[in-house]
Amino acid sequence: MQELTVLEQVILTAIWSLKDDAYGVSIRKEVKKISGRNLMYGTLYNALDQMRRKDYVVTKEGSPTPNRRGRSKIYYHLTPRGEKMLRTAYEFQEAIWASIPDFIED
Amino acid sequence: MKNTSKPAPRLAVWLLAFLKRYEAEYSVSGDVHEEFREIMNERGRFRAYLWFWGQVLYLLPTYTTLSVTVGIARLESYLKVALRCLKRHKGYSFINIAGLTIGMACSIVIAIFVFFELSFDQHHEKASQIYRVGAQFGPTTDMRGAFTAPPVAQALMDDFPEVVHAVRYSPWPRNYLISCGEKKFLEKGIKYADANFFDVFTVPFIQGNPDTALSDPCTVVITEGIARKYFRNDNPLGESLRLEDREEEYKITGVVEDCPANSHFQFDMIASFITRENSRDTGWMGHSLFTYIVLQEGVAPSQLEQKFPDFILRHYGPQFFAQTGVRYQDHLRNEKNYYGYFLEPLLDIHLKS
Repeated sequence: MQELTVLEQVILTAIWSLKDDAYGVSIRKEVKKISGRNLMYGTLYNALDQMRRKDYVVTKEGSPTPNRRGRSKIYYHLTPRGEKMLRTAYEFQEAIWASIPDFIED
Repeated sequence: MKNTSKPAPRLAVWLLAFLKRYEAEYSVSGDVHEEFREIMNERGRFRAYLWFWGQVLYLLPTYTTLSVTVGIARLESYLKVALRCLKRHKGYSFINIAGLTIGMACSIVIAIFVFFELSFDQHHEKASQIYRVGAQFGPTTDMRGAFTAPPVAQALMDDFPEVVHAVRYSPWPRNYLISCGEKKFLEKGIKYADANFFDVFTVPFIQGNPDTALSDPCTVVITEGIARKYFRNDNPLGESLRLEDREEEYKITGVVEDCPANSHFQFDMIASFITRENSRDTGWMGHSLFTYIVLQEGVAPSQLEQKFPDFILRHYGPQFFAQTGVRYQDHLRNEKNYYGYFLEPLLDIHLKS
């Protein structure tokens, strides 16, 4: 359980690049932008729950807006551990693809 | 289900209310409503509704997945706590657990034993109507024995229509040398019974016909274990077993399953009773075998027992007179000379006889 699944990588990347603005709707948009995937809310919440349990992500409550019918936004932030996992994943991917330079030229 | 003022599919919104964990920890309705608004502004109401429903329908099953995962996680944490506690108090935990285990194991063993003992002879179809005829040799019930004389069975069937079947079974332990071709074994489980034994008792036949298996003299029905012992996997039907001690050849007419452990019969072979001269004995004094009867449904054993004194008088009286010159009725005047038959239910035999 020491590696991130692709889904987890994408979500964590989205949260990281959104900095302070990572909440449900924005994460979905960001994921769509990064990978073109239309992430269902069900998948997203389950993945976030898993990552929370593994301490990659923490939640924080924001203030309610009228847009959301009175519900407050919940923001997500990466923990240092989460950041480390992301970094490891990135290096891992780099290592894989770096060893097959010809593939990219295809 | 579509409201026009602040439009959002009402039914779907109602469903969202069930997803408590999504709502509390991830604010699902907030997210979904917000995006719903955006989509409605960009792509129109129809697409928005479609999208909304799509999301909600996918959320329902994923919620159950989440609940399951959370449940498992909770279990894991409880287990960790429990293990930690055990490790910290090893001695006490051990005594506690060992004691409980021993207690439970003993209870289970006792329960098994009790059920086993109580389940004796239940497997016979007519078990509730089967009784064993016994004789009482004195005024008190502790002078009872289970043995009866050979002519009793037939006389019971002749005299009383309530007695549907009466069968004799000779339970004496016999050590006979049996041989079949080259194989010779000293067998201890040979019993004799009348031809209608299988009408009374339910014995599963593997080969052979239960109605005719013991009709002829010198026939025997053997159990699976015996069949395998003498014949391996060959067909034993029609083969003969030789009883060396009595120099008789018995033809095998049937193979039955081994007697179950909770049967008060434990036989390896049952041979036809008519082979033995004892079966034709007409003396009413020689109590040498068991007589079992099947009573008609609805007849209480006491009803039949009431008729027994007269029955004995009719059949045994004359023999008694012939032997002793004393009239049987006079003999009975002395209370110590009480002699009567009683009926013992099959299901009581194992525990109460």
